[in-house]
Amino acid sequence: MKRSLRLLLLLIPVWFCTTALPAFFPLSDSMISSAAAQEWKTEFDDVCRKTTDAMALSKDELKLLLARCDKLRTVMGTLDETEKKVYLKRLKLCQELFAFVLESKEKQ
Amino acid sequence: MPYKNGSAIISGIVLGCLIGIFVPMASYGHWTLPPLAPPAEYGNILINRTSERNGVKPVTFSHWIHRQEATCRVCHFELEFNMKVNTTEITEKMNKAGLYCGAASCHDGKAAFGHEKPHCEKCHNGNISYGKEKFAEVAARLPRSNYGNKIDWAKARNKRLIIPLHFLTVKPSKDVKFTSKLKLDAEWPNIPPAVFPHKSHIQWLDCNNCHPDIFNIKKKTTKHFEMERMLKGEFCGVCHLNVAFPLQDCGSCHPGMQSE
Repeated sequence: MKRSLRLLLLLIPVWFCTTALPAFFPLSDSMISSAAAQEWKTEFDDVCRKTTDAMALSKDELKLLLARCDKLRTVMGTLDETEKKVYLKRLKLCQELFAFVLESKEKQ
Repeated sequence: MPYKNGSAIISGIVLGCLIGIFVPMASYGHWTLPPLAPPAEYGNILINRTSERNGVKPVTFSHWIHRQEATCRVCHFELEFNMKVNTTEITEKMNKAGLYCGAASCHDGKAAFGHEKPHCEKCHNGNISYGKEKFAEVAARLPRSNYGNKIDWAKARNKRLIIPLHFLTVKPSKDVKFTSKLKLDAEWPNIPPAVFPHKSHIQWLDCNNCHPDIFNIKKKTTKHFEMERMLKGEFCGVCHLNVAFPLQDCGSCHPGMQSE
C-alpha cells in the first residue's frame, strides 16, 4: 500500500508536466515555429561547419553529410522566401563541396 | 648529304636557342594586365544593381576596411555575397531583416552603424574613393607590400596586427588540417611553376569558396587553367585581379620570377 502511494506521488509531477501544464499554458504558434526554426538552424550549422574538415572525412561520413543536406533542403523549402534564398544557396555550397571531395576520394 | 644533315642540326639548335630566349622574354610582356587602382582604392567596388534605378546613389564597399573586421569567409560564405559584384540580390528589406550587410555583428546598429536615416550616405554615396582619408593611418601600421593596397594582409594577420572574425555563427568544426602546397607547371617554357599554398588561403576562406565552383580541377582537368583565363576573372583571377594581391605581383605565385 505504501509502495503504491509512493508511486502515485511520483506520477503526479510527471502528469502535471506532460498533461496539465500544456493544457493550461498551450505553446503558441510562434513558440512552435521558433522551436522548429531553431531545429533546422542547429542542423544546418552542424552540417556546414564541417566543410573545413571535408578532406579529413571518410567516404561514409561524406555520404552521411550529403544525405543530411538533402533532408535539410526539404525542411528549408518551407522557410519564408528571404531566408530560403540565402540559406539554400549556402547549403548548396556546402553540399557541392562534400560531393566534390567524395568524388575525388572515390577516384583515388 | 651528310653536310645537309649537319646544317639541319645547326639550324635546329639555333632555332631552339632563339625560342628558349625569346619565348620567356615575350611571356613576361605577353599579358595585358589591367591597370591598378591607387592603393587606397584597390579592392573598392561600387554596388549598383538597383540603387540608381531606385533613385539612390550606388553603394561603395571597401575591401580594405572590411578585411580588418572579418575574413572573406564571413561575407562570401556565411553572409552569401557572391564573388562577382552586382550579382547578389541585396535589398534594404533583407539588410533590415538581419541578412547580408545587416547581419548581427555587422551593420546591425550595434557592432557597426545600422540602416537608419543618418547613416544612408555612409554607403550610398557613389564615391569609389570614400574613406580614403583613413587609409594612410591603416597602411602606416601594417606591413608593406608592393602591389594592390601596398599592404601585406597575410603578414598583418599572421602577426595579429589585425584580428578579423572568421565566423559569425557557423564556427568551423576545428582548424583545417588540409594544408597541402600545390606546384602548378606554367604553360610557357622557362617560366617557373606557380606555387599554391592552401594554408594561407584557408586563413581567409572556406574550402567551398573555391571548390568546386572556381576550382574543379579533378573534374575538368587543368586544360583551361591558364593566365589568359585568369585575366578574364576566372580561377585565381576571381580574387587576384581586383581584391587580393594583383597578378602584377608575378613573384608571389611564381617564386623565382620577377614581379612587373
